[in-house]
Amino acid sequence: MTSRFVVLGVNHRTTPIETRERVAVTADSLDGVVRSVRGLPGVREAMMVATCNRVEVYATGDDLDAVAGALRGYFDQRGAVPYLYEHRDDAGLRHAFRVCASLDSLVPGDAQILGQVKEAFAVARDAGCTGQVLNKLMPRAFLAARRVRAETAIGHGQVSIASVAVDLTRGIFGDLAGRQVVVLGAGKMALGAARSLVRHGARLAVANRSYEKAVALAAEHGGAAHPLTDLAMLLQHGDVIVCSTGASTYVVTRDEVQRAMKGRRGRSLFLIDIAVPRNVDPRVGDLDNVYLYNIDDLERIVAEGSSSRAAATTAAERVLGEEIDAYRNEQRARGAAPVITALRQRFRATAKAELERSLAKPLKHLTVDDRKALEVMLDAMVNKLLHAPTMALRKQADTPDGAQREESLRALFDLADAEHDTETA
Amino acid sequence: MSPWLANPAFYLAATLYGLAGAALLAHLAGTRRQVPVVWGLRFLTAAVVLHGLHEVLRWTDGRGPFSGIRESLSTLALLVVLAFLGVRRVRQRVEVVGAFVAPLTLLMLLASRAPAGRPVGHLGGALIALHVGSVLMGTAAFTVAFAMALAYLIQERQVKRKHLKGVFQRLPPLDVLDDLGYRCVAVGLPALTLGIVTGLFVGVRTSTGGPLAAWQQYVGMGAWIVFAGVLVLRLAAGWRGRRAALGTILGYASAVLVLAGYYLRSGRP
Repeated sequence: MTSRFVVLGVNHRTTPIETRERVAVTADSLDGVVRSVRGLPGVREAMMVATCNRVEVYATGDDLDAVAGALRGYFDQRGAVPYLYEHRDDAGLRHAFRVCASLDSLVPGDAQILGQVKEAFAVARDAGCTGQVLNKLMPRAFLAARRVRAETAIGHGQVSIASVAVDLTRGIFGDLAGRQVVVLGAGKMALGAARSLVRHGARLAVANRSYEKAVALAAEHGGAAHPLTDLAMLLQHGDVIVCSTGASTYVVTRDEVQRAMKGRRGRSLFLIDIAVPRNVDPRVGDLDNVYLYNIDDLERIVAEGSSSRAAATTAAERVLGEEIDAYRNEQRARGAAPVITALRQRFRATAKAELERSLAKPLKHLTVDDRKALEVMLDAMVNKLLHAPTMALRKQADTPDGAQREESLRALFDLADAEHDTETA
Repeated sequence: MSPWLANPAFYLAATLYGLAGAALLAHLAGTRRQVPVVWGLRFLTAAVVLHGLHEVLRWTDGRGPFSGIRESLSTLALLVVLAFLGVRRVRQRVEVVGAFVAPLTLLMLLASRAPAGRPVGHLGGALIALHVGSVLMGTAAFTVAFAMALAYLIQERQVKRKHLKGVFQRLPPLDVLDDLGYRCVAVGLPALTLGIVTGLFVGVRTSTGGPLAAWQQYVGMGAWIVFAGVLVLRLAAGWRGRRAALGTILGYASAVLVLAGYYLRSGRP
């Protein structure tokens, strides 16, 4: 049988941003959270994928009902159960592959998700929370995702958050030359969007809770560094504010923006809130001459811009289907492997014993070359005799029939001891 | 006037204004079969040439640009399009705003052919020409400002509602519309001020009193106050964007009422 496996989580499709904020896990706390999930009753292995768009737990255990129940309890504490989805075994496997290949993303072809899942897997593995199942499954899903990207046009002509940010800024301000872009936090996506704006002539300022980090980022991206305490001044003088801090409460409040707008004398202010939990109070968007877009708004626009990708998505699904089938077959083969190995050992041992007995007396006149030829012949005979049963066992390893056949073979050929020897070896 | 030439010029100009408006509106709306904005501009430019020809022919016939409400309306229509084309030369990507300018121009041009009664007062002399000319130039600038304000409100709605396809992509950026609207009001207000001041003298000289004329003067002053308010509040209190656009539309509505007053008075026996 392939490994038992369950995925529980919420994503942009099932869950509003207000709820995603409650289950959001920052990169800094991911290690601790995944350890605590791994510690839930019944959970043998666990990893957690936590991005702006999704928070998912991939877990295994002997009793999947118990594992799913424990995970459900985790999400229940954060009020996310009404939006929760659950995929088990094959469905879970397919979901994991689709997530890695960005086919479950709002915009198929999203280049970031694979890196994010890889990071999540690395965190879980380093924390000792993964085992036989996830250590085999996830690298295979990463390979499949790379193949999908290489062999299909899923990543071509991608409309990105950064390009939408540039279009929007142009739609509000016109020429970007000389406009002041302020990045709050250190999110990669925020810095990516800001870099695009800078390429079109805007000036960059980076503000961070840690001034040292702001200085490092500003030096890396060519801008001015500010501590987050300069926020009021930045709101007054900036034109585009890109927010991506890990704060769990609003960093930019309505009152602050209202005060800044008085100082701005009505000049337009564009806020891009990429963070989950959100950094900007959504009521800010109701103010005159203030335009606020959050991650869901941007991704919806990106998705609209990428709507003509049906052919690439179909091709990607086909490639992914092949990869999933190949993985399943390997898993099946691995499931039947102990019985097959034991059966071969049993046949070889019997043949060898009989050959040695014959060579000791009736065939002791044979030369060394003849003896070797006889050994080779017996090996070939064993292989040919066992070829058909081996293939049948591999093919049906994951089915009830296959399991029954394995049991029959164990009983008929007394393979229990041989299997045990193989495992200990 | 040479009607055998002036009439075709008028009707052709009107047709071309109509075609320009239709083409630019179709471009803005993003109809299935995309209409290039350049078509609208070509129609508009051709219309201006024919409209100008019509004005010259009429003048040679003894009816100057300010000699009556009909002539003034036709002159205003021409000034509006010239002002818009001038703005277009200064700032690129505003051609599509012609979708609002061209229909207004067509309306003014057609109204100039509507039957009218006696002229309003004695519309002759330098002072009258200065008065009417100033008012018309101010109104032309306000018409373009009104078109910019209308485009601003539509674009702002698109951005606020996060509809970034279609109209959003075709209209100019918000700040450009806001800035052009402001500049047009800034040009129009001194012209209107001159028109109002000279109008006080004209009013003393002409006998065009009556309740409608008084009402018209109040509305005219109201329009001036609104436009002045748009400028002062922008400079003093940072009233930009939506508020400035709404103020411009309110001021323009008042200016249109004043024009309508002239029109109504000219139609009275």
